[in-house]
Amino acid sequence: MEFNIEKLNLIYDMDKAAQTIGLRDVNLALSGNRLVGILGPSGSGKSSLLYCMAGLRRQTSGNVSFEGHSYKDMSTAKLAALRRSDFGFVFQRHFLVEYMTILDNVLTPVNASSKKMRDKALNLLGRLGIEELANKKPHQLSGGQRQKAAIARALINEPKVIFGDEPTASLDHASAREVMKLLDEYKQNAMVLIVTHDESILDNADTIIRIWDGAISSVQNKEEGATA
Amino acid sequence: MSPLSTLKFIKNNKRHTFSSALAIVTAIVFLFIFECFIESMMQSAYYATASVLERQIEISPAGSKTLNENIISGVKSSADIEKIIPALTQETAFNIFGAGGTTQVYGLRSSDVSYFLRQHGSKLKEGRLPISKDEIAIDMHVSKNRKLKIGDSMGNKVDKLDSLAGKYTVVGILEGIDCVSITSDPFTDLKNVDENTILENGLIAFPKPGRLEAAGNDLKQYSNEDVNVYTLSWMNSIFDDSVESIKVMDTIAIIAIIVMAVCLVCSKYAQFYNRKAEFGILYAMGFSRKSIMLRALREVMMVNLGSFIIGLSLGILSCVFIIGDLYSKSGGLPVFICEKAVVLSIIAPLFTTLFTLIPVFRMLSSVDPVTVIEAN
Repeated sequence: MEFNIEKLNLIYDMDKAAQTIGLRDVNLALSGNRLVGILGPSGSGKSSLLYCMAGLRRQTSGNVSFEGHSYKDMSTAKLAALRRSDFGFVFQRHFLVEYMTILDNVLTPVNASSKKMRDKALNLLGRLGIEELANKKPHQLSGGQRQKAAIARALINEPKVIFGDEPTASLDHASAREVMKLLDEYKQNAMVLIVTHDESILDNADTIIRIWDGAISSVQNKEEGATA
Repeated sequence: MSPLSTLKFIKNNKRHTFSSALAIVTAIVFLFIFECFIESMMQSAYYATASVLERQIEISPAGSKTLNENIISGVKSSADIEKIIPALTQETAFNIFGAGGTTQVYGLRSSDVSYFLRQHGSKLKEGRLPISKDEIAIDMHVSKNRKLKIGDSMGNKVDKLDSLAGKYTVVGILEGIDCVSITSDPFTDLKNVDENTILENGLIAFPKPGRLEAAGNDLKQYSNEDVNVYTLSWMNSIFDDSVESIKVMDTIAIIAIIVMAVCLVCSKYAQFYNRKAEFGILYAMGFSRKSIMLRALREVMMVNLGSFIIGLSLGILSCVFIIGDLYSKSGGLPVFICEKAVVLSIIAPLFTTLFTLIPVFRMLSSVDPVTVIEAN
């Protein structure tokens, strides 16, 4: 899988006097299965970059393309279909649906309940160590367990890209390490993009993109060393 | 069941679904009973007082006066009239739940009784026809209403509140299309006089088949302060006046539905609003706005449709037990299903569906997943 970002700009509150620049002139090319960390302080634009790459925000100018398909040429419905087929999401908060069981939450992206899908979901939960909690409701789980369930939900449709927006921010240290270990394992199968302000969780990242004030300040590939 | 299916949602949210459904079911049951009660009242009152006029026209003198010759000859010469019989018309009490009233009692010549009964599709169910003085055969609905059986006595000498003058012994129970009761021949003292003299006391005119309206229009010219002419159109105008007050009750019923719908809509909107995060994440995951809205539509429609079916079933059952009990036992005509009841019952879930979906769709169309994510 391949992301190409050219001269990406994102400006908030375009129709107001005081506008906020989320991203300024971002150029980036990412390809292959890897763990990519997007690192920066609060308000630096790292989440904005993730949202543009995921198709959740339309850029103000510039272009984002995934596997050669430009987001500019895609309708809202087509972007939604792309997210459903190729992307998985893990957010800071788990966003599990409270009235559904953990198993149903995991199956939500595929909205299916065939034996094959149920077995697949249970298998995922098993790999995450929470299979016995499949029939529980989210409020019956700990924070770390809920985040694991959210990861299972993100993996059920075998995405090509997993977007994690501060996935460990609300977890204790032990749970955070466990979650990062799981995401790190999955980089064999997909591109895993993690947005964080905590550099300590990116020890195993293949690429670290540092972002400051809406612009990329450096891109550091593990095998190559730092690049400006 | 797939995780996002409507049945799954209902299964996982029984309490919310039940509370939404309960409001609609209660409204429908109440409306159904209310409308069927009114319809039963109207139909029972119509049967007791007006149904006879679908087959005859009554002309009677007011007070102690008599009908003059011109009227009698005018009626006889009417091209729309098949037969005229002399009749002494009185009334007896017939009180239906919700409406007090009377029904007619006819004093007829013995020779006219079988024609009269045949015209009204009436036959003897029990006992015999009145022969001796002060005997009466009553309609079976009157029998139930007044709890009278063969051998009992009736009239204002027995019950001061009864408008039937005198005292009569019940000798027969009649059953027919119309509510008719007949006393023994009141004209026995007038056996040797000519018919016109007998007709001066009052008459019943039977129109030729299909000529009821024309006959009524012809004979109403004789109506004045001394002469009462009772036709079907006259009776219908009386009923139409009484229906005006019913329309006020219908308006109140519709206002009650609207108030119920508004309260329910606010509650349902709040439930959907509280699920904004769920919808935002579904959109982030890649479900289209259209599919999310369709899901909301199915949830609302299924709950409201189910509520309508349950409400209608319970409404009909309630009418069978409540109205059936009240009206059948008292000789009235119970109505278990009427068009107005069904229509008003549909309005409740329809209003609720429409007024729920409009704001919900507006909310769903503007849900921004990024705002949802960052708000949490």
